[in-house]
Amino acid sequence: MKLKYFAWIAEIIDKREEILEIPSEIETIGQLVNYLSSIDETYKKAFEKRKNIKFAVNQVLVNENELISKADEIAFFPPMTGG
Amino acid sequence: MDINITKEDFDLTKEIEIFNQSSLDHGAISIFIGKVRPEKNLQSMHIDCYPEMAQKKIKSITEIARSKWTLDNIRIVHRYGSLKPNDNIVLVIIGSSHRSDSMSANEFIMDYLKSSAPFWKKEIYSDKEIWIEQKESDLKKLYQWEKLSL
Repeated sequence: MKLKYFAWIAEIIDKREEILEIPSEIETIGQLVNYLSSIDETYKKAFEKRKNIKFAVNQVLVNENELISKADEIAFFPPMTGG
Repeated sequence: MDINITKEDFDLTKEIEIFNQSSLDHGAISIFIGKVRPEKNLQSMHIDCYPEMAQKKIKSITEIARSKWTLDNIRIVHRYGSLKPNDNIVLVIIGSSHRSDSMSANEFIMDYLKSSAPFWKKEIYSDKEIWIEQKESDLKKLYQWEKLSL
């Protein structure tokens, strides 16, 4: 699964993107966040302020209950501040 | 409609030339330029961006604008990367037959760009770096647009 990180989340994880093998029982974004937080302290720190994190699947904003699959591009980022 | 997500600066005269090449069928052109505000001791501003999503999101924002107002051409440039105080960040050019359409649509697009397009600003000072947080006042503007649609 392709994972992308932006803004302060990318700074904490110290990566812009990566490809990870995710266990097949992980079906939603929320489960993915829990899984990542459980395997490494860096992810745990990045996802600590869960309310401040938004998610996109294949460049579309979604909520934590969104179903995901291996072919998806998942992005994690804070609320947007463009313009 | 043109959407340009770029690290490069833009020149307003050239942008209007490009805009007019696409269409001259408008009686009014509304132009908005957003710049890096020169806050005290601000050295630079870093803008992070998710370009593929930004293209899709800005396109959908312009489609909503077209459903609300009668618009001719739309051209949007949004920069990312490292910018200095007073540098240009964003340009929105909209043409319409009558000025009220392009002016309202410009405000609508800017309100949505600020809070729903995937860009993130970090202010860099000599002694600290601050990721700008989304403002409640910006979100209220979106709620107001949504209320108007009801």
